[in-house]
Amino acid sequence: MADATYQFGWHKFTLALPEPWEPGRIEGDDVKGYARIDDGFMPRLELKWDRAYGDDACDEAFRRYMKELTRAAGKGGAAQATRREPKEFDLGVRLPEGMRYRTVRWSAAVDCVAATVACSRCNRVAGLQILFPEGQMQTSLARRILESFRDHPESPDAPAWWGIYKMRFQTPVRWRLVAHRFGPGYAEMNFAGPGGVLADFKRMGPAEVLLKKRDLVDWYLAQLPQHVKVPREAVERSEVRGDVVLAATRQPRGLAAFLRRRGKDEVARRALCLQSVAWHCPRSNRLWAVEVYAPTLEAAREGQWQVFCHDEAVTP
Amino acid sequence: MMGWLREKLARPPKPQPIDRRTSLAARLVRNTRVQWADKPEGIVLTITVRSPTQSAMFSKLFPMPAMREVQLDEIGSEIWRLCDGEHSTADLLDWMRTRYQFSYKEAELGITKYLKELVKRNLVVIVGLKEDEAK
Repeated sequence: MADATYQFGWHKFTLALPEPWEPGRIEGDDVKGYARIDDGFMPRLELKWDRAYGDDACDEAFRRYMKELTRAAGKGGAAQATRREPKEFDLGVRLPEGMRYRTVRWSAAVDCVAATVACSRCNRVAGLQILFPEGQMQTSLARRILESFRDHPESPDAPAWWGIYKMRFQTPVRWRLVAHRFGPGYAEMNFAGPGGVLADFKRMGPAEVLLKKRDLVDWYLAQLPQHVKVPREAVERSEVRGDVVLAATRQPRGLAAFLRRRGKDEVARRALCLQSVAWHCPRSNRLWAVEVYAPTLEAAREGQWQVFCHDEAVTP
Repeated sequence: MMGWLREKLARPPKPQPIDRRTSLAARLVRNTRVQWADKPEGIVLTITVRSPTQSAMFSKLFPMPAMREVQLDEIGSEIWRLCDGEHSTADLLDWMRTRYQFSYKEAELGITKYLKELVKRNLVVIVGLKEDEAK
């Protein structure tokens, strides 16, 4: 097991995972979804979540999982069924108040420790499958992972943690992820908050390649959404701990401002005020841009986010 | 008779799925018929353009060049240099992770996409190893 871990965060779920484990597939929203985490050779963790109410949500989900497991084993024939041998056991994990869990282990082509965790505060039930190569089950690793599992931030006002593909940041807890795009050297996550606030977090790289033929300002202006125009003069350049940081604000004028007054600005970023920060992080060889759109500049500045671009935090 | 017919109609056997370690250990070899030049701005490939067969008259009216030059970017050039028959896909992944600080998945996705494109255009061949050799 690799000692280095990172805090995976997705739709308010957080988990401490070994550094090489990264999502291979991710879908759904905060109500219902699925994530598969791979280690480069095989899937290592599967996380499935859904809405669930009541005190018996955990037991109900566990019963469903066991039924599914037995049925799936049955399909593989008698030999497969015997090999699975699901056994409920206690991992001895202490989870915060309001969270209940049940665990089972089974073996087939892979070894697995599975858990269903229900949280009465967020009314969500999550199913985790921690997978190991055949004959290499590590209950200590499974325990560590399950122990780090959280369904929501510690307090109602605490920020939500997002940690995926080395994109690590915090947003206000009421911001909701509405879209995301991940590719080689490109990661973008779009949020919507109360009061018509929209926020885009972008991480691109390698910076040395992207900044070869143009400077940081050119890159920043080019990556903005098509209809959002920021004049070059409006971009302020400063230095924070030796790194170049750009900041820009924009207030819509003309037709865009008219549309905003008419209340038609829910989705049109060009009709909203923009508060934006972009920077080059030489240590991680990446470029970051955070754009917050809101009906007023004050509202755009209110969103308290924090980015951890390498080991240091960057705040607005 | 029926046996012969059954044999003819039978589906070809499904190819065995390749083990992940084996696929990562596969070597990458450039097509020796592709001409390329290592220039300061990157690798330039000279590719033979297939002449269109359907519209011979159209191609006579608007003749297309027989050769086309493709300029690879910085990362593409380095990948091309590493496709020398000595390096494997795993080597490429390691290089991309250390050189550009890509995460494993980012590197894997980028390399796979790019290699697929090179293989589709017959520029690179992936030479597999037997499973026991890969281990």
